[in-house]
Amino acid sequence: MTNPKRALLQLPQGAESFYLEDAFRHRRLIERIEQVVDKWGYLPVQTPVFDFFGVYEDLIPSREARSIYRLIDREGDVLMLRYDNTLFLAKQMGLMLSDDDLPVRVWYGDTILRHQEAEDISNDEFFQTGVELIGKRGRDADLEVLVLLDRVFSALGAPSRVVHLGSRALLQTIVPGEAPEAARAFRRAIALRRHDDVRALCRENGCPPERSRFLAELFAFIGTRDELEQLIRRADRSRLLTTVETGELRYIELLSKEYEELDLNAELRIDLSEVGSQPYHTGIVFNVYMEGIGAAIASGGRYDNLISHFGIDAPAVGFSILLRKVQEHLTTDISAHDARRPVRAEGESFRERLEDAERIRARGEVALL
Amino acid sequence: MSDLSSAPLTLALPKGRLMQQVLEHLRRCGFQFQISQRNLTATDEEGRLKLILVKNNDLPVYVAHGIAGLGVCGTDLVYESGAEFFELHTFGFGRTRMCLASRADHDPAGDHTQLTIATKFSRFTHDFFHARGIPVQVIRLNGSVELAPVLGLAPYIVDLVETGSTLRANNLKVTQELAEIEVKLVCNPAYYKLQFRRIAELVETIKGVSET
Repeated sequence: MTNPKRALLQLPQGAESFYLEDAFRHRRLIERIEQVVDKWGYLPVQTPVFDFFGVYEDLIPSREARSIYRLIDREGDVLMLRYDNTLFLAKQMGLMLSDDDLPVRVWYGDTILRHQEAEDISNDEFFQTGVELIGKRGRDADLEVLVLLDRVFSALGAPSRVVHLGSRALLQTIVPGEAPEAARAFRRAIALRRHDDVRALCRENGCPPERSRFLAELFAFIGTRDELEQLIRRADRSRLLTTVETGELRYIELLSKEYEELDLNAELRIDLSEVGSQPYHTGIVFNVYMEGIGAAIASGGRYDNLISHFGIDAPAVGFSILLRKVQEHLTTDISAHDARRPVRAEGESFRERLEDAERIRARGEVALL
Repeated sequence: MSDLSSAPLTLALPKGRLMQQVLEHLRRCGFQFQISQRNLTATDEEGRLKLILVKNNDLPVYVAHGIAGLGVCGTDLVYESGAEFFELHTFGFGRTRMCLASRADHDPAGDHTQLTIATKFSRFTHDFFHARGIPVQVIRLNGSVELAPVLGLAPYIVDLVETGSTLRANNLKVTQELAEIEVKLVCNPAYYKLQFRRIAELVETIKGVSET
């Protein structure tokens, strides 16, 4: 019979820990990220481990709310453990920043805690690192975040990755934010590439049949600027899109063009089926995919109305990287044993060994007493 | 713009009768495979498609983790896995029904406020009745579900029903049809994003060939 105390020594489902080489490598990767973002003027932030659930309740999709760990404090308030860094960060920034502080650039690297069922295969991630550029609208800010994402992944040595860029703003022109249920249904149908469902939702939303068919095709689009241009021209000829909708597509085209001209490492594809997973997204949205990994390794986008939910009215754009997911696929050569093979200090007495060790350490090597 | 990798697309197939139907369809689409009894993988002669042969219940796990990018699977198993895939094609074969069944002589007037249901499809059963406000106690079984009402474990079962002959043989009847189950070509979303052009071509080929 299993000793009950021994059974408790296992990690609960959903908990994660890593040790020795693995932890060494993880910390070095975080340092590499810090070295990059530091030079771009991003300051570190630390969000609380738990906060009041009610503050975030309206901002979390019900499907995701099921995975949040909740607890009741001694005063009877419902608390939640940190489930998403951006949400917790938005509250802190909304409360502490003033207009004079903007723009602000911050980065974080923290554990998030989510429940997993025993047979869960959702591949949830438990360490998020990312950046947020707060207080800047427009193309330069969007490009800054996309380029920084590329620089970070290059520093980490992430091979064969591709950025899929889409637009929540485009969807919002068709389904305004006042109808959250309808918006949620649209997002899900588009993200899962259920074209018939998208067409039916467009019809329910009052779109004529031809426009509904076109929108279903549009939201399934993945391709180049030239291919998108052909689609826009077809829409223009048949008057299938409004000026505002065409404007959103032109913005994505422009962003894609400027990104391409910067000659970055990761290819960027226009993907209008990327509409962002979170209710708070507003403008551009993107996911990064890498060969051999069965889920996006990074995601991000613009969220201009989230921080004002908690305080100051500040637009923002950012990304988060699922570092544990990507860690074993990186080409970066980081190994505790190879790069930092320790040298044994020599000497008769502890003092002699300590002095020898200090000489070794002064040469940049690792010394053991 | 090209797909990142030129390696064969990976397709998980469930071992058993459904595999033979899919292989026959793929053969008509121009994919020729040499599969011996002990092989668990096979690549077509032109190196376009690599098959990974897995147990039916495990198939969504392989696709969700991206071990196989594509898979052929019933909507019952996809739902039960909790994973969300792109559904790229519905095959004409393998259709069946998810049904609530009971003993032929069962009198529903004697049911308590909470139904007790034995099933392999616990997630589906829970969600189906929960969405309709009907309280259920689900007893999870791994096979021979028809035994549950016969031996008195539960008055109801939820199971796949094709012809109904197994139910009749055990003196059971369909009480309610709950869902149509179809066989789909599913795809891991991240895999689709990386290989979307080649996958779109494969889907066009599969759709373009008659299944009869």
